[in-house]
Amino acid sequence: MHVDTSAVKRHRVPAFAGPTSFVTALIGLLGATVLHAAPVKTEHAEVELIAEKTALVVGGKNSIGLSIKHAPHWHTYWKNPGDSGYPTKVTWQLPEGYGVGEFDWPTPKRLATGPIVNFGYEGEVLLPLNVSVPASAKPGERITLKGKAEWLVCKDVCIPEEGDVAVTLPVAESGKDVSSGAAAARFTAARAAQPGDASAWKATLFAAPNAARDAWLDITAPAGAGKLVALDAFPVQEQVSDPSVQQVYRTERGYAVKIKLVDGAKLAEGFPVLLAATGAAVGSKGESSGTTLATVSTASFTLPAGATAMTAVAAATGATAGRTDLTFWSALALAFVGGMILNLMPCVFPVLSLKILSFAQHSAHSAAGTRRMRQHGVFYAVGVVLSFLALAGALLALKSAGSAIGWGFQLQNPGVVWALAVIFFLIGLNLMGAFEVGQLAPSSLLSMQAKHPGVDAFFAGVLAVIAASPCTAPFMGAALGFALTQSAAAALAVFAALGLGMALPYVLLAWFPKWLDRLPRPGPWMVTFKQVLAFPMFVTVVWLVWVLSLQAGADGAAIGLLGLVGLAFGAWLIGSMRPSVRWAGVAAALVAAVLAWPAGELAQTATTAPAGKSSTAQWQAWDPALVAKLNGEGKPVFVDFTAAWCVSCQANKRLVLTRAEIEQAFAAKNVTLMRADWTNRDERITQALAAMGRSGVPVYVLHAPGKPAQLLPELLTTGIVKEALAKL
Amino acid sequence: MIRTLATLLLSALVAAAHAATVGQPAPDFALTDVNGKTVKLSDFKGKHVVLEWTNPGCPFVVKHYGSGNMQSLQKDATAKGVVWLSINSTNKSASDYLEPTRLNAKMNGEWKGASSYLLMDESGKAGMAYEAKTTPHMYVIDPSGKLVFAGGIDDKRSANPADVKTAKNFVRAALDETLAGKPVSVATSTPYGCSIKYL
Repeated sequence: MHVDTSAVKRHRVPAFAGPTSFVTALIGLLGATVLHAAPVKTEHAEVELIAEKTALVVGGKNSIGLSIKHAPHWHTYWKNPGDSGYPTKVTWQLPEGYGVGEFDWPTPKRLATGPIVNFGYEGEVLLPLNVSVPASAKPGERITLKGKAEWLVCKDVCIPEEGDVAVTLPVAESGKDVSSGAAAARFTAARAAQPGDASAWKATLFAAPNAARDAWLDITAPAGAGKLVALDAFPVQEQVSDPSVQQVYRTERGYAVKIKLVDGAKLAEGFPVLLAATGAAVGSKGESSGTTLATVSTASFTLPAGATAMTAVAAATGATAGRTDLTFWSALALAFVGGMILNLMPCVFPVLSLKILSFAQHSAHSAAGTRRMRQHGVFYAVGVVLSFLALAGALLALKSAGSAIGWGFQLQNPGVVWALAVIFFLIGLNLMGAFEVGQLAPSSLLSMQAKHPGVDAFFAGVLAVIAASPCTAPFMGAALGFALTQSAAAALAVFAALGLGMALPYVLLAWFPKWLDRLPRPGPWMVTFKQVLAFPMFVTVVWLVWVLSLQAGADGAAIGLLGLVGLAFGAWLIGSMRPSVRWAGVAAALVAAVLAWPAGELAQTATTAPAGKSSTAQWQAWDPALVAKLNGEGKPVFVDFTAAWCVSCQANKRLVLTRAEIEQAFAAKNVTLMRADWTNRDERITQALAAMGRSGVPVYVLHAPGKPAQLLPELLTTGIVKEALAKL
Repeated sequence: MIRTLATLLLSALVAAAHAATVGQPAPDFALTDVNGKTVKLSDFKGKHVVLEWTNPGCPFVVKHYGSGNMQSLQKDATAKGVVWLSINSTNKSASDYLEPTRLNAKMNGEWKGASSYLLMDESGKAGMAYEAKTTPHMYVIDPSGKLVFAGGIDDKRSANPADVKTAKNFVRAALDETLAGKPVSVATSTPYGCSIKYL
């Protein structure tokens, strides 16, 4: 009989791959080094044993760990694998007296394939292990901890794999302070991902026998626990409850989770459960997850009156699943591409027009002209990158000070919106020819500008970033969302990449001015072109005043507009009068700006005003509990995370979401439409965005019943929306 | 869209029907075998029936057929008058789906499988009614139509064929007991294997 066993892929790798004798010789030379065996590499995972420190200390706390790097979309399993699969294990062959404990499993993820739900890990995971060293161990001797690792790695298909893993370490005497190894940071991260102790969360499992095998986990939250945005309960024991059934309710005393027991579930006296939360801490040390032991009762349970369905766990974890698991480098790449696309977004385009104008002026073909243009390009790039870094710095500083803010935070302040309106209005007036900057500036400044034309380019870059801040381009959302969860250095690097991407097209044009040869020769047309460009500026002002009207009300907008009239009067005085009158113009402009400033002050009182003014009858205000309730009733929900100051949001709304055909498509699928308005600061929305791995708007989420939440792209088309709806 | 609709429909169907539970009547089904014959579970009332969820693309199924373990279990059971139904609930869209002729050639031809019928359940309806999660996933039904065993084939959760010899086979034990008219002592066990690709 011939049997095809090719499906079983065995990957046995000797503990010491490579020229062993050479390695051994090297150990002799280097003395106290840690030696990791070559990782076991398969098509789907890279597995190796790593050590936290550079030596094993007698009587000390020694940690090693099994590192698994999964190929994209492949996963391995938690100690309770869920519907199928089995947990990763290692069979040890240890020197006499040595011992290795159980894995300290990090909090797993809920992974769904059709109706089958598993608990496990994707991406990179480290499963830490404690090593006990016998008291008889001799300092200086080298110890090899080795074993056979077996893991089941799955995507839609499953491959059982195995390989020999080993790590060799010198022994250090008791009490010796040994230095950390190269992978120490991964151990710190793995400990941060460990579930904490949630025994303060008292839980009871009500498992009254019934045909449907329904059971309820009734959880009492400790005092001061805060309201969780979402809660997920992972049963620690295998084959006790069905992982695919879970509905979470918020009750007066905490939470109630409806689960389903498996046939023949063997319930011990306690039912250990890992609680993972969004929105507040569950564990004792501020971790977002922790384990508690529920008391098992055979009494029946009735959901208390007033209980509300929470953001369906499926939705909450789905959002995490939809959350882009980026590496640092891919976030940099996304930020760079996002930056380039940013130039084409509606809020940057007017500024881009300005740049084209500047090119037209500079496109001289002399060597000096070329040099000047290149210099101009470099200074522009420096201006863009430094401005992004400054904004990122401010954002990080505010976040570390505890503010719940995200990208676009600067526009949540009406004062900033007003200042932007003033800047764009002045640029417009200037382009129209109402006044020249040269008429104002002292001669010393003018001569400086002549000597350093780069200063001009630098501020053009700053201006471009200021104008770009209300926009998010495709790819940018994911990259910034990633950046804000990383260390400050990594976050700044991502923002710098964004700036470089944004500046690149301009720098390229400055470097190769020949590409501009298609533009007509300089001439009187340039004056006309310049004046035409004033109009996109004024349109921008109209939009900013509209935002202001939503933030500060009609009075705030009126005061702002009056201020603009004052500015126009000042500009006219500067431009058309004798030099002695110019200073009156400057004074008039200053007075106008100062008088209009209270528009910002007014807004502070208006921030609590209902932000959903832009909602039409069809759209209702976002309510996560209602999303869960509707999903529970089998109804899909579409949520538009938006803000008045977000131009991409407004473009999507006007061009796609409010189109008759799209409205009909929503109606045909009976989709409830909700809008989460982030025009003013709203902590709930900031948290919900963070849970989806985003830090800014727009974000479009389709919650289909019983499915993970689906994130749509930042730039919508009718096709994208229709396609997503068609899958319902 | 069809997949999503199908999932919703299936979930609704499963919710509507009573899930299979040990000690309760086993849900009836009508499926087509690889030769086009319609087979109903209720046709075998009065006989012991074994249900085996399978998919030859799964390494865990390969373990039990490659070692000859499943075939010997099938032969021993059918020799004692037991009806053995092998069921493949793999959805047509899955990468390792095999159409009936190819499934037949693989399992009954190449592997010399000895089940009574090899049944197609592409819709996943029967699989979901039994809450079958993995391949293999085993069920034993007594002559009264009552489900007496559900779970994994043995206690060695691995894909290593060498483990077959040392494992405790729950299906063999359950069959021996129920054929002798005794209650099944281990009526449920942890199923292990590849997840069934319903969609």
